[in-house]
Amino acid sequence: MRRLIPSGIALALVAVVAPAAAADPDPTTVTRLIDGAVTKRLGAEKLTASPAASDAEFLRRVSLDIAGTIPSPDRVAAFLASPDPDKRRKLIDELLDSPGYARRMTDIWSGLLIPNTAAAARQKHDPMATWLQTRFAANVRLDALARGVLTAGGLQDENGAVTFYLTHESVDEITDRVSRVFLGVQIQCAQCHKHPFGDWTQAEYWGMAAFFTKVKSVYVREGAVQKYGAREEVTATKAKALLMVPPSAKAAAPTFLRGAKAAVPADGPYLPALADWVASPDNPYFARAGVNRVWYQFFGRGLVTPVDDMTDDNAPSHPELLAALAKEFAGSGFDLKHLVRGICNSATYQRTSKPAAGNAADMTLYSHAAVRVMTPFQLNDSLESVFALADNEKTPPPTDATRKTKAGERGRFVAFFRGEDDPDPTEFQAGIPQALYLMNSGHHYRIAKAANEVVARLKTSEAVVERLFLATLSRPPTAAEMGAMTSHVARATDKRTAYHDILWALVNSTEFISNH
Amino acid sequence: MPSFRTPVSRRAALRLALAGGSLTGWLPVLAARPAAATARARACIVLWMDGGPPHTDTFDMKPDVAECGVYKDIPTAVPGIRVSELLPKFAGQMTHAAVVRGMSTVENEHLRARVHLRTGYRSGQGGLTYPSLGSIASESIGEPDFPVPSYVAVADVRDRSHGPGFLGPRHQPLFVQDPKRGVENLRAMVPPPAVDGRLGLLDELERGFAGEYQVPLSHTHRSVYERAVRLMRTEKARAFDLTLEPLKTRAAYGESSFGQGCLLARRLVETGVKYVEVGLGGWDTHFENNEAVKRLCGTLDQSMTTLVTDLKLRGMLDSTLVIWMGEFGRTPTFKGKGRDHYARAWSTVFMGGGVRGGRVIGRTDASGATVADRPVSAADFFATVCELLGIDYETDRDTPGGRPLPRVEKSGKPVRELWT
Repeated sequence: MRRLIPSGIALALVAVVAPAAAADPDPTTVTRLIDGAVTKRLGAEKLTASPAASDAEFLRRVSLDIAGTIPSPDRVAAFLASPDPDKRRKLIDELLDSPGYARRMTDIWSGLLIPNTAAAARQKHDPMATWLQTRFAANVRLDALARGVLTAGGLQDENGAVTFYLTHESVDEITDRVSRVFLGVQIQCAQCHKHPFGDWTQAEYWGMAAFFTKVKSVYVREGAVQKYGAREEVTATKAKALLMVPPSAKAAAPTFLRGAKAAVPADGPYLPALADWVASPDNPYFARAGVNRVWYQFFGRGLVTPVDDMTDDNAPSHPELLAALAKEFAGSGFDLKHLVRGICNSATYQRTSKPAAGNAADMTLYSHAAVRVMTPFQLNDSLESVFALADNEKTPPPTDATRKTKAGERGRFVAFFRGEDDPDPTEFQAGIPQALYLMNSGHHYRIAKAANEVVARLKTSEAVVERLFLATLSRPPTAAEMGAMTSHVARATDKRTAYHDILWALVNSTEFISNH
Repeated sequence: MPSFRTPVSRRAALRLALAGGSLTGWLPVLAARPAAATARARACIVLWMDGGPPHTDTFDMKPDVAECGVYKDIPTAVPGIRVSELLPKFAGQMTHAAVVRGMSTVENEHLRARVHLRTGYRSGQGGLTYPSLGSIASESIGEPDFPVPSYVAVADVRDRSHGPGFLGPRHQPLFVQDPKRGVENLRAMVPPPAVDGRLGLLDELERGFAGEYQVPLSHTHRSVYERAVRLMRTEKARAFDLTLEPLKTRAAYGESSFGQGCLLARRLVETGVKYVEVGLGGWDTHFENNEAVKRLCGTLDQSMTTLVTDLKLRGMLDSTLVIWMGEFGRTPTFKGKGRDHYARAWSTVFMGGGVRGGRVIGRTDASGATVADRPVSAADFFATVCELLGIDYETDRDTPGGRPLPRVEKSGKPVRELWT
């Protein structure tokens, strides 16, 4: 159980972020901060760091982490063959500029902003995804993104960000989410009683909730088309309140968490003031929460874990590093790509995930990289990347209509593979139904087609096996694996189905579903 | 490392755990599994009211206090016991049921309360992840070589409170998303010899990865695949196919997912599954409590009473414990039109499985706000269920940290009035 420690540490947080330094576009600043702090700590704990990841391991990991999918077999072959000593740095830049980056960030942030509830499932989610994707592609800064979400108003078609309000049911639900996602703290327990750990009081909770009490629903009917949206209304209108407001929230005045009452007149808007406070470089929570989230995306755990429970008594594993990165992040104007670039170029991130010299038990000090399970999005997109082996010049490019079907399939796949909320990424969460799906579902035919296409192009069984390994595990087979696979083909009466078997085994393997 | 092609013996599972780098120290203890000699029930069905159902609208009515609710109470088949007018069919079955009116627990937030009421411990206590009751049942009374998982959950909301915690992936629940569809993709796309060939290749790949990376997820992945393959190969998986039931039976259970889940639970227990949870969600009635509770009770009353009748007709009720519960109750008075979370005083119901029905145990005060007589903690509740199922909950057993702990927190004392 966590211990209670005296407050006052909260005050220390304020100083950490306050002065926004001039933006430093040099990623080596972030890299130096990370490697310095992590190496120092490993030394103090007398833990050996594992060596650097091989090119194959690094390529697969960084592709999954930045762009959300494994690399194509051609990409693997080219990267492994390249003698360029600077190829890792260039790869990181290339991935950050790829559409995959925006899609991956959109997947993550859609999941953070839209609740996994029956009520949310009744709303369209695509407008939020489109809105986010546009912003991540343009590297809109995190403060601007938060402002855009919090002050969103209008119809869903015009402003996808209002999906945030449309998918929530009550002011307390949205208060919980804003606190967790943008501030990195959980204050929901204060709803019914004084929080036992974080020291939030009920008054503070309802003071935050009060900001959302003027959000009204917007509804337009054009012929047979119904359009929905949300907007903060300051004057009395006939519009219905969008979010349910418990009596306790009605009674409270808008008050910033751990802070003063907001200087907002009762007849004015509340949300711009909230957004200004949340996304300010002076906010003690915002930069830390942002850094911790991005860190989690690349390391499988936060510098504070759980990632959204950054209370005084839940200490970071590397306090100085978190403080320094938060300062750097705020100083860069909340530039996400700057942070990501710095992380991915660090020796800490680029270590192998294979344990060495007695460091296997270490899960928190980054002596070796964590082996994580692919998210459902990564798994779907990586399977698609494997199935793309079947694409050839004869296959016409997808039309808009087929692309739409594909988006629907992606959503269904993700819903089926989605486990509990906030899973531990180092644990295999899927159960028997998901294993049965990967073994026996209709994607069997796509496996067969992909394998057939490779067989049709390559002459020897060794060449086919190697390509199947590059396309799935992003590495060539070991000698033992090559032996086992080619002798399976040699034994088989039907050579074609023997290759189906191999590709089936590859996509069902632990190595395939893991990001290592 | 054992092959996928043969059923995994316990000894083999142990070898696998060691080879796969799973570090839990509990497996040797499993071999000393205590016999279920004192068991009153052989299986358990938990009807989980996710969100927290209000006691003062269901099984603990306060007709004399207007603030406690708008619904009236009605007499039951047992003189002197009254329940909500929203549960008329249940009232007719009161002879089979014992209502515990003194539940008094300590967690008021959903996830923490789910962990508390599914594991018997508080979230984060002692730095361990505790196994759920279903996982404990799987470990203690499940047959190790049974081809269907011993613990199946038709969960409305699934989260980590369902999990096996330190007991490891072998005791994970099998989640069924939609009982009408059962377990999908059970048939392989290639003939059996080809399946063997594929699994052989998979073995080859798994061995390399597990050796090189030494992570627990290798072991978990393998365990899940092994169980999936066994399920593909067993006739017993027919228990998941509700189309094998007469239409009349299916209709009697109710068309809702909860109703069909209750029917599935009966079929699974019949086939040898030890623990089934069926969820009915939507009880988090902060707003419009009365409408929601009326609707939910309609679903509940039909499906639960059909289940009990069906078990009785098949001679299974005496050996099958049926429990009705949520993660907490709700405030006995209203906030606006809703009720908030309330752990201090609430109700659970026990039926079948050696429980003597037709009684009420414990009492809340006149306004339903505190327990006036016979409080029951989460640990007490766990000791009770374990005692009924013949699970040894008192003996210290090894946990991964090396600290021996009993399966139920030491303070837990069973509510023996349920069967004496």
